[in-house]
Amino acid sequence: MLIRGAVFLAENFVFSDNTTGRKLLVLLNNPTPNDPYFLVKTTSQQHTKPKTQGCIENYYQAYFIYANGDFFEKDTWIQLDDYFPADPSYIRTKLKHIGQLTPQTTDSIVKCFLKINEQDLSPRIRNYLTPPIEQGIQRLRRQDIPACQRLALAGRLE
Amino acid sequence: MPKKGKKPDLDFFSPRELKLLEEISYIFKDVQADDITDISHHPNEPWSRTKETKGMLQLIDYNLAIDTKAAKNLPPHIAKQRHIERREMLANFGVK
Repeated sequence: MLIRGAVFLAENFVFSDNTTGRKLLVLLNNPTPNDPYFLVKTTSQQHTKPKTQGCIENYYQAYFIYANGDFFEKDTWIQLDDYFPADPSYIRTKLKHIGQLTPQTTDSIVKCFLKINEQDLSPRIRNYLTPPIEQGIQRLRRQDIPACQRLALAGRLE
Repeated sequence: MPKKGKKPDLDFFSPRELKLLEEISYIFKDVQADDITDISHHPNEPWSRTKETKGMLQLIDYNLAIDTKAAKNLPPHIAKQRHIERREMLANFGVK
């Protein structure tokens, strides 16, 4: 079963300049059999992007991981400005599952993605990416639950 | 065509989309279709700029939507790169 943080390899990826190479993608959700797979791109090309470990919230909208800091052998920017919902059949036929990011890194990436795209995710999409326990915690933080219930729930959640 | 009185499922819209829909409906609710046509064809706006540089019926570049105000949050060269990479992904995987 594939879980969020899975790393996929697209071999023979055709770039816009018609060259061919490898492209790594990261899964952001825990898909059930009928769910789409929410993928984000990665790149090891720096161009003008900063090398700041973790969430880069300015217009570069990425999550940076130093070489060998987790699964990746090279300095890698996980590009969080866009996402691609893919059918399971595409995953099986076009991609190769080659690794897994640690739960801590994955959690940070998903949080970074949700923060960066706060204004651009519909509740439908957000539900795919946010596990039910986190949805409960977020509701508590938004304080849309009376104080006494918050305290009781917080005790159960923590 | 939406059915009158049927409540829309807003769960399909992002907060930004809802805000834009509200703003657009507020601005254009009392405007006639001909006026909307005129507004979208104003000089120096994407349609007329495309007509002047490429000619009639040519594709309007998405980057023309980035005005000076928007460019502060998203520089045009980064927007252009994103657009290229998105098309790259779609071409490779045909993802929806």
